[in-house]
Amino acid sequence: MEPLVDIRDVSFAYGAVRALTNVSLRLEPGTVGIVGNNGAGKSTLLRILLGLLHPTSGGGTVLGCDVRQSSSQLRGLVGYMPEAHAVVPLLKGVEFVALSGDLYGMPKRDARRRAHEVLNYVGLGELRYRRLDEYSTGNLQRLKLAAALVHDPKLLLLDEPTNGLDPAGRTAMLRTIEDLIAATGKSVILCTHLLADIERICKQVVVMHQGTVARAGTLDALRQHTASRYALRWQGPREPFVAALQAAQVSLDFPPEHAAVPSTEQHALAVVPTGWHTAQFFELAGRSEAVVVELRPEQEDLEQLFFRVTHGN
Amino acid sequence: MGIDAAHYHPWKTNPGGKLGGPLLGAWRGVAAVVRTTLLQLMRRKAYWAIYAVGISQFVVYWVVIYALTQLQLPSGTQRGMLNTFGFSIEAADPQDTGYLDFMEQQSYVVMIMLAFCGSLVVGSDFREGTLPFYLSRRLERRHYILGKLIALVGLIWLFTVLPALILFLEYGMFTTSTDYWRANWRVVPSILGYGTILGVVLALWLAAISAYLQKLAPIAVVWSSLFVLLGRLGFMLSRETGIREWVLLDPWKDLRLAGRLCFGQFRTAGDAQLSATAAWILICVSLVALLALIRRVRAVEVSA
Amino acid sequence: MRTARAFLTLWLLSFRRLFWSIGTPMLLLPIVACIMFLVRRNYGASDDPVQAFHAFSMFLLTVFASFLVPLCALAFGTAGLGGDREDRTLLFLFIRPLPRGLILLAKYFAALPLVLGFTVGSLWIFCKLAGAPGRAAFDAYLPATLYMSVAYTSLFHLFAALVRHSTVAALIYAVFMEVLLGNVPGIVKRVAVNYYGRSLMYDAGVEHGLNAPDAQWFDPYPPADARTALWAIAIGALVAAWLVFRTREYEEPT
Repeated sequence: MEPLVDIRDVSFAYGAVRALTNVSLRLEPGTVGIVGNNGAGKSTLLRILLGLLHPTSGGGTVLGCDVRQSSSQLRGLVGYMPEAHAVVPLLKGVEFVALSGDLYGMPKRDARRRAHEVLNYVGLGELRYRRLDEYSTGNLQRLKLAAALVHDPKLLLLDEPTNGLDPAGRTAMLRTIEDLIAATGKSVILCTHLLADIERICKQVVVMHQGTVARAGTLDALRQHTASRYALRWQGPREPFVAALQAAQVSLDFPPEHAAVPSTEQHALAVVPTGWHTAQFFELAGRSEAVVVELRPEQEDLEQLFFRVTHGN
Repeated sequence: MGIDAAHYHPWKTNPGGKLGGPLLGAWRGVAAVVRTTLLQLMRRKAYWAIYAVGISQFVVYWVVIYALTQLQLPSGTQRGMLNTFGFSIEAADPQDTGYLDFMEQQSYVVMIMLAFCGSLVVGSDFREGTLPFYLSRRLERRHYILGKLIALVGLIWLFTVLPALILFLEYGMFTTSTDYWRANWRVVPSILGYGTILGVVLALWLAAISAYLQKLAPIAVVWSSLFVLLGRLGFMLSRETGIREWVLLDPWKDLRLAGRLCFGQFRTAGDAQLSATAAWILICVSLVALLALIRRVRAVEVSA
Repeated sequence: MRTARAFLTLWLLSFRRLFWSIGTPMLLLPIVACIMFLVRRNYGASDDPVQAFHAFSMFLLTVFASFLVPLCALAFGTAGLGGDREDRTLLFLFIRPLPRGLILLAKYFAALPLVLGFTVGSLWIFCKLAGAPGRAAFDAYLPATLYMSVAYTSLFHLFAALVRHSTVAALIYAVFMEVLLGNVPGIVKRVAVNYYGRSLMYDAGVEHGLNAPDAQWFDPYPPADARTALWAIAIGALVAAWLVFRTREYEEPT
């Protein structure tokens, strides 16, 4: 299957500021989340994938279209929902979405018909004849999504789609995106600060840090590394057991005191080396005269992964 | 605020194709930019106020010419009144500069209208982040620029070429046949030529200035300085130093001289000599404006 | 005390915003063009001082008074309050602990020093460049410049309070009323602020060598009446703007 995104050694600089450095990515069709701190290069990467910016060096393809040579063709296959306000003043909702269709090269009649269809789909049917300056923030976000969908693209690039939405609006937007993916099989690249949104929707994650890709892959694959994490609770002496675990190359992280944990017990987060068996915990505990009370595999969530990757670097 | 009950429908289209090839897609994009620009403008009440002021002179011309064609006046009186407006009753009279004069006299209101338009339809795209919206669609930078320029040219033609052509049609009512139109057919391409020069030059300059300044007040300052101040300074320099070329400092003068090239009519031999220089000045400044505009649009792509 | 502090804060903020706006360097462009003109003309080197004064005065009448002064007032007079209307940031003004009338006055007194600075400053520069005729001209025409600047600033603040696109309104006024109507014979020119300003300038300039204008085309208003008219326009327009801004509901606060 043709990859969704296949870029190699892409760099981009705004004058003296290097926004991206040797970014290489191969993403399969599906849902992808791009996360990173402010200034990590997410928006720059998105613009390169959209063909809006040409990389200073490197290149690649998106949906089989070269990001340098075929940027116009590429944008015909991609629907882009920007983070910024980016609406045309004085237009009505349906006119704005139809304009988006016109700009994608749709025949005028099709653009108008599709504008009505997608506005119904995103729930703005009753507001279609309102002027854009009368739209609330949430409605504007849905309008921008409609404008991105009007030409039925293969790939959606959504930049902070839940920006400025209240909790109900955010849930509705995420449900819309989930429904869209489930119903159409479109690929989505979601760029957001909200890790919970990515965990909910995306199968693949790209973690950006200081202009480079710190981690990329499926969520499950990234979490596989964390199959070696255990929450450990024991009774008995602390130091001998800790020393024994550390001698066996188990790294320990001691979380703050927890009210639920009795003072007679110790607890830690243990990251074990490759090839470790859980029986070894009990063996080492026995030698140290400690008793293991609880041993539970810990799944790292995306936030922990993100902080581990970015701050650990 | 939930999802509409309607499910998502893919776009079903005719077998002829979806988004069109590169040329057709580009043409649709350009047409969309033109339509949207004009729509944005015509939704402003201020535009119609300026248009009313601008069209008032046309109404005066229309009424006078209509009255003269309908009233039974002595031919001397008729000729004299027409000459006041620069028109001539004789066919193909080289002194007939009425259409040219009319288009020149629209210059003040065109200037004001364009200062307003510049901020609204070009400046606001840069100021409010609309330009990245356009460029993130299947539209190249050149298509966006072309669409905006065509819209501005159309606007200028609404004030100049279209009324002049209507006056030309009306003027033929002096004859009971098509003799006037046949004898003066050259007026039409002359009007169109002058209108094209006016439209292209003013559109380019305005788009470049508006792309950089964006807000109405600074655009108005620069625009009025170009078209009012330079004219006065040029006139004063020319009169006080005796060096006629100083009048070329005035962009309106340059446009008028270039327009007179289209009509083949000059007030003086000096004007005829200066017309080629005026045309070159317009070409050079317009090229600089075009390059500046392209550069500004590219900068938005990078920083948006 | 709180109101006074809020007023001063708004005044200072508005002044700085106007001063550091893009309009300020753009206003330097026509001034620089005029400077280049005066350097080229070099009125100070003329053998006939009377003729030089007349010629320089004509420059001040047709370029400075008729164009530059209203332009400076337009650049700052409409950008202050008018800028807030166009940018839809009026709401942020209305939520200040200030009565609306004081908000308008803060904007006005923020714009006025800038207008006066540019008009008087450019007059000073032009007169300096003109040499001997300029020295007499500065003293003669300074009062008219001051009166016109204040009158225009008040008038354009009234436009800003009344009309959303006050810059366009000011431009139409400056071009049509001032340029076209202000130069036709008869009493219709009395709608132009410029008419009264030029009347004052003619009155002040005649004794230094400025030729009196052709009465058929320009019949100057008596100087005392012209001063009164300019003051009346300045105060009347400001009061009208104050009343309008205090009471009107704006559709576009945000």
